[in-house]
This record gives sequence, structure tokens and C-alpha cells, in this order.
Amino acid sequence: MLRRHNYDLIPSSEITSESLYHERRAFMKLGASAALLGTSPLMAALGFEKSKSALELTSYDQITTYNNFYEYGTDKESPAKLAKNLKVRPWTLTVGGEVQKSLTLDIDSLIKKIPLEERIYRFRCVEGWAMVVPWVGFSLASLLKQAGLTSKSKYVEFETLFDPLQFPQQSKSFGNIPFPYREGLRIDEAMNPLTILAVGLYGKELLPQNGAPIRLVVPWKYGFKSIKSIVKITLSNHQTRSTWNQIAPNEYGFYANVNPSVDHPRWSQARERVLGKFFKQDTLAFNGYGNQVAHLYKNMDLRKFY
Amino acid sequence: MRILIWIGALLPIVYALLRFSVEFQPEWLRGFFAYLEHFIPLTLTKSPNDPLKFLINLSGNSAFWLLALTLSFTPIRVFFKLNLIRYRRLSGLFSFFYALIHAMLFIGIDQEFNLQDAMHEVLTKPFIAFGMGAFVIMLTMALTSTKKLFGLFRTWHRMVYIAAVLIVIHYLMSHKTITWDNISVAGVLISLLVLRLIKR
Repeated sequence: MLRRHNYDLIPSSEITSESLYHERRAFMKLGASAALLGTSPLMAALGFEKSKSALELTSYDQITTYNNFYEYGTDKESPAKLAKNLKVRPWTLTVGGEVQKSLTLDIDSLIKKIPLEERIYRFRCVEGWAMVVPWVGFSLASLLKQAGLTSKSKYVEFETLFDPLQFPQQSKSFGNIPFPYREGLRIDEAMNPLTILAVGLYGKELLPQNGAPIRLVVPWKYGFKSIKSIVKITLSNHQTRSTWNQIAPNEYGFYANVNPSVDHPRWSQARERVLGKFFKQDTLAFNGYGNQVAHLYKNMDLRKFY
Repeated sequence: MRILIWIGALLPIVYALLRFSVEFQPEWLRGFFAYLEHFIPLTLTKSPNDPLKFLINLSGNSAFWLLALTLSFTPIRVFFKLNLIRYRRLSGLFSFFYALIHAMLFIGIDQEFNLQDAMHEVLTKPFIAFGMGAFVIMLTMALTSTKKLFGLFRTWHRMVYIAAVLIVIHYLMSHKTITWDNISVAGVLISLLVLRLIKR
């Protein structure tokens, strides 16, 4: 059964709008009929209670048509157009490296076994736009515990599928993006309860442009950390690679925590453009999740470790 | 020719109006645009997800291409013996018009008319400084583009080459990575500048 957690720290002034409520109801009907048809284990696992989040959700249409997925191109519209045929089944995810027991998991059996929950998170792109997404997934920690950590499990590296036949830019690109895309977290970041692996959003299975069939979501970090279409998770005892950090280390740090007081070299990070809105709003430290994660960085200079 | 420039230069505004009015369009019109979408690589049936970014990009790109048009009249005369120089002012002014919208969106909406913040951005971020530098050059050119003043400021208008170089850098810096697409677009403006060197 789907559990709902409310990790928001948002003032009650940001109330879910009425139109949104109706949108959600319409969506629930959609989900319900899909569940009746038994299209997927994910659908069957869904609950249909009203969202308790105070955040105003970004529309399903916007979340699925405004994407960064450089495997398909550098603009925001290409992924939705080109990703339709990504083969997301069968899909195998491996967990290896410094673990007690390496795992090779079939995505469907994984989803069947692990309890899914909805998490409504703010999502902030390093480029300055932001949205609110109702993800469906499970905590990364629960998966890592299955593999078993050791004293050498200090960092986690994630890797996107490498398949130039399906991801045209992996072979066509200029060569300045070292594919496959990789991202990394420190182990305490990975084990934080906010960090999830998402398999759905708005109660439906993820679409390829959003990182189907399984992606990382780290809500207090810039969006590029939340790597898509993961095939491999490797634990290691040293700091792992991070693709954008490799490409432009002066612009994208390994930590990439949302931080309104540290500017990107080309633009300010103090405020953000919420999708569909013309005027900007303030960006919150750690994207509003400081209470849950600020302690992870308490002795670190966040200007240096941006 | 004059009419062609007017139509071409106003197309971006028509496009913006179209995108922002999607929700108010009658069903048949939307159907027509959905059909058109099969033939042109433009989105027509959706209001922009990131409206401010959409307008900033649209105005910036429009200014860029109209500047390229403006700079193409001289090489066209040299290489094709076709004199279109009399349309250069119109096209240049349209380029400035979009550069003005571009800069105003940055100062007015992105920086919310906080001039101190805007100035801070210009002074601390080369990406913004290059763009603003080009805009200031274009502003002085637009102000001195009347028949009377142009005579006096003829030499000053060579500054357009500096502006073009700044714009190429600004354009390339506006992307997270450099792609073949960006290089080809920047290449257009660069070639127009290089053609002038060859001529001499």
C-alpha cells in the first residue's frame, strides 16, 4: 500500500489551489481505471487519498514536457519528443562495489517487493527554474541496506544506461559530455531518509523523459544530482565521479546543495522561476529541507564545497 | 524588401502572442496549429513552461539573427553586387528593438527592477557583462541612427563589430555546454565578420 509522507516545511500561505485539487481528482480517476486494468504493479500499489502537501504541485504536463536529459539533446523539449521509445523493460539494476552482497535486480520484482510511498518534493534546477513534483518511490537507504554496507562504503556512484542506439547524443554529442552520465553522493547523504529512488510521479509510472524506469531524487540538491534511468549503483571508499562536476568544476560542485547565497558564475541562485509563473520567488537554503539535512554539512564551508 | 523585413522582424512577436494565447484559442485554431506542428520545428500548441526564460531566449535570438541580417548587407553588396544598404538601418533598429526587450526583461523581471542587484550581476558575471556591453553599444548606435546624427557618428558605428564579438561570446556562454548547433549559429555571425577582413 502507498504511504504518504509529508516532508514539507512550507508556510501555510502556500495552499494547494482549488483547480489543483480538481486536477488531482481527475488524475486519481485516471489512476483508478489504470489500476483496474492491472497495467502494472506500480499502479496496483497506489493509494488514492487526497494529498496533504501544502505545496502547489506543478502540472503533470509541465513536469513531463520540460526536461533536461542531455542524452536526447540540450533543449528542454527534445526529451519528451525523442524519449517515447526508450525500452524500459526488461531493466536490470545492479548494486555493487563496497557492499556485503552485490545485488542484480529486475525492476519489476524490485517494485513488487519494496513498499512504495508518495513524496511531494520541491525540485530546483541549477539553471534557475523550479517545480514541485509528487514522486512515487522508496528510500535509497532501504535498498542499500539490502546490499549491506561495510566500513568501506563511504560514497555511492550512480550510472545512467549507456546505449547510443537509444540515446542519440551519447554518440553524436560534441564529445564534451563524458557519457554514461554519472552522479555521486556521500554515504550519509545517500542514507538520509529524504533521498529516494523514484519509479513514478503523479501516481503513474515514470515517463522516459523523467528518468524511467528508476531515478534518484535528492530534493535538497540541484536537479542534475538526481540522475535518471539508473542501471548501476556502486559503493566505494573514495569520492565518486559526477558528470557535470567533471565537465565544469568551477560551475558545478560535487555537493551541489541548493544554496541561494552561493551564485553560479553566470547567474544568481538567490531566486527561482517556478514553472508556469512569470515572476520569480526566493530560493530556500537546502531547497527548504535544512532541518533534515543541514547537520550533514555542519563543519563545512559551503562556499568552498558548493 | 522593406515589407519583408517588417514581416520577418515582427514574426517573433506573433509567435510569442500565439504561445501565450494557447488557452484562449478556439478549438479549430488549435487543431490547425497542431497540424502545422508536423511541418515546422516549432511548438505552437502549448503555453511556455518557463515563460520568462522563453521570452528572454526569443528576444535574444531575434536580436541575434536581425543583427546577422544587418551585417550581411555589406558582404551581399561586395560579393553579389546587390545593393541593399538602404535597408540596413531598419534591420539594425529591429535588432536593437529586441535587444532592448531582452535587456529590459533581465533588468525588469529577472532582477525585478532592483538596479543595485542588476549592476552587481553586470560587475561580477562576465556572461552578463558581455551582453550588457553589446547592448550599450547598440543603444548608442540606435540613438545616433537618424540621418542628421549618423553623419556625425559614422565612425562610431564601426563599434558594431565589437558588439557582434561580445554577442557571440555572450551567446556561447548562455549554454551549459557547447554543441555543434551553438557553434554553427555563432559561426554565422563570425563569418559575417571574417568576410569583412577578406574584403580588405
